[in-house]
Amino acid sequence: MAEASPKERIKLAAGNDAEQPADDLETLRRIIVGPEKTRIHHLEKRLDESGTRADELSRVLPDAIVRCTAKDQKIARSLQPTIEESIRVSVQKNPEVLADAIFPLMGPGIRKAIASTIMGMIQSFNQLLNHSFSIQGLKWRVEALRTRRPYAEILLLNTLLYQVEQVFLIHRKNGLVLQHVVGPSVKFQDPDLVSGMLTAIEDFVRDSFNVGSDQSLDTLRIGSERSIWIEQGPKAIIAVVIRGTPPLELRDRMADILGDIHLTFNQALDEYDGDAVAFEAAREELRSCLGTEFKASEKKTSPLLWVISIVLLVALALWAFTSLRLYRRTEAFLAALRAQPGIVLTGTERRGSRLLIFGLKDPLVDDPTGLLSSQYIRADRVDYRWRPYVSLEPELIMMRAHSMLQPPSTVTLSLDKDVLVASGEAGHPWIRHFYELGTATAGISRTRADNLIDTDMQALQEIRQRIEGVRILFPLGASAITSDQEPLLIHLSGDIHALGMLSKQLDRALGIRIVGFTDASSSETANLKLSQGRAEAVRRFLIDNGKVNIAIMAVGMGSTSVADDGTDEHLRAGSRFAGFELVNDGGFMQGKGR
Amino acid sequence: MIKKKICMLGAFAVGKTSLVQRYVHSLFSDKYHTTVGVKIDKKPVNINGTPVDLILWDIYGEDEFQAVRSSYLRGASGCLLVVDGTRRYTLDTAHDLLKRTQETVGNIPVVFVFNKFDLMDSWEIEPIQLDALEKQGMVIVRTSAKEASGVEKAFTTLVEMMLEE
Repeated sequence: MAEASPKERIKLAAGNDAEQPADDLETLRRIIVGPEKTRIHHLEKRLDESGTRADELSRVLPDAIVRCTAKDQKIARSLQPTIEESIRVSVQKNPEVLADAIFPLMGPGIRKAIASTIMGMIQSFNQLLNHSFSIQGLKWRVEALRTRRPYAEILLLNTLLYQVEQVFLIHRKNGLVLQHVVGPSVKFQDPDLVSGMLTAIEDFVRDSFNVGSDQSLDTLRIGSERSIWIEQGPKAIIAVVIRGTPPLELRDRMADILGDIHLTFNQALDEYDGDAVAFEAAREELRSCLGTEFKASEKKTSPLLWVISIVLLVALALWAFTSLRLYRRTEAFLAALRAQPGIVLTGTERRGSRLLIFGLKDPLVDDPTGLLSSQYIRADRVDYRWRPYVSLEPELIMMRAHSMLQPPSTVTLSLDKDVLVASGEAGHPWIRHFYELGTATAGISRTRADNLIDTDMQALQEIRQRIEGVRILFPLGASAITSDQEPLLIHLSGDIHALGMLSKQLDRALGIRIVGFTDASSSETANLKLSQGRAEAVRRFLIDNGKVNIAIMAVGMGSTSVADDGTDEHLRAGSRFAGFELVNDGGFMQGKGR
Repeated sequence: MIKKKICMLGAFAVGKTSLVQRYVHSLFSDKYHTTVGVKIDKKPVNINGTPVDLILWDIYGEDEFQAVRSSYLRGASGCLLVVDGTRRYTLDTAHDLLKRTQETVGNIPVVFVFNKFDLMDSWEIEPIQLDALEKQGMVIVRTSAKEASGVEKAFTTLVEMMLEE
């Protein structure tokens, strides 16, 4: 229901009064301030109940902290003592809780600290190195010798832009040092005494020149190298000892730190009675003032550095060129090796300056030294780890066939897929060897020798023609060898001996049959006997006068000669002869003649 | 470590610097007296198990030409008022300095040091004056910087008083 307006409330109250008279003032008061009184009562109740207040506060607190943090660092500074105290209590109670919590941070933290230290060392080393080989560096060495000061000090003086060596936090009232931090490798006097004297000097200056409370001594210069910058606060003073010329931002930094310290340690500064333990926490902030900055190196570079740089560059270029050339040569060598029949490359490895090659190699293939020399790679820089295998590449099949068959120079071997083909001319034993062993070679399933001439068989045919072309003539009715026929027989015996030799070579049982003939002038019985006698006479002559190494048989054929028809004496004389036939395995050879 | 600032006060040439030199090894030279008007030394001591660093402000002696700078007294935890027993007026100077000290830093522990005790024959300060001081509640130590007597006691007494505060 909507709340009644003041006028409506008065009307309602007046109506009630008409029925039930009451104190007008009380009624009026209830009408005018009644709702506000109720609200005030509710607000008081909310404020009195701590649980309700805590609930309400918890709703706005996170947002309030976020807003406060975004605004400035006051809340961080305000909470710092509480958090530090909480941590201290927690550590005292059970150190393991905090140790477990910070354990993951320790590794990266230590690494960062080590890296920072190493960076510092490298920076110092760089600084020293940069100036050690330059003409400027030599001048400074001379200066160090002349002034009898350490070279490092001369170097520092000439290269240092500024270094904040010491930072004092001094209690303003009594001049006692609250904290003192020092940069690395800085020599310093007792900070309590220095702090005291600084305060005294500051007081002395203030008293001597009647300066106002808002004015103070803020800089002391000592020679051209050192100065002391002083930043005054109402309760504490920061003094920094500087070598060189620092940037003005340092003073802003000092003022910021001093402000922070006053905010954080306000109570501790008021209550300070000589115990500075409470100000330990300010050390890190003071330490942030410490720092070193070197002069930017001049662009002018010493000639010696130029020479060294050029030498280094040339050396680097040579090294790069040599490496690239070696790389290309090695790649070319490996490519050639991969293309080499009988070699399969399975891997390479570089060990220092040596190249190690792994793979399979047919034993018929030599180590690829030739490939190395063609690429100008030293053979002693390459090691091989071969495993043997049998290659079925045509080149290797042919190599294997040549190795096994040892063909004579008159024979050419070739490969037609898996068929080994021989051409040219060769002796009969080799041809037999070819047929027997050709297919025993890996990669060859058949052999062929269509165009291969058997020279032994050719010689056999020639001898055969010569032997079978000879006729030994006899006079009428005689079977004795006439003297004019003996040279023929002696010559013939040479051919017969050659035939014997060839027979053995061909491993064939060859023989000669001597066939005797007569003319038709006598009876057939007489002729048969005479012809047999003539054949026997020739056989006997050959056996007695030659080196017969073959079977010879004698056969009389009577007057079977077709040449004698009884009319021509010359023809009749020609039919009285003994002829020769080559026989094979007891029979006549093909193509025999008389 | 607790640090306490102690001021050495007294008239010119009463022996303040001699007492300090007997007590500590100085870092700074005496020329500071004539330039800045103060020389500061440090003495670590252990009083009843409590380690304390004493920062001794040896302030230039007051005379007709130079007055002690009140700013040097600021923050002092204790004060040694040195009197030359052979010169009576140095006691008056000490009283003046005590008054100025109390005006500057309030009621801090103070020890009256009567130096040059080795020259007892030449003393101008009567024992009755010393008794009167003691009756006023002042702590008195007799010293001889020359013979190194009473020096340690003077400082120890003051530090004990400061630590009791």
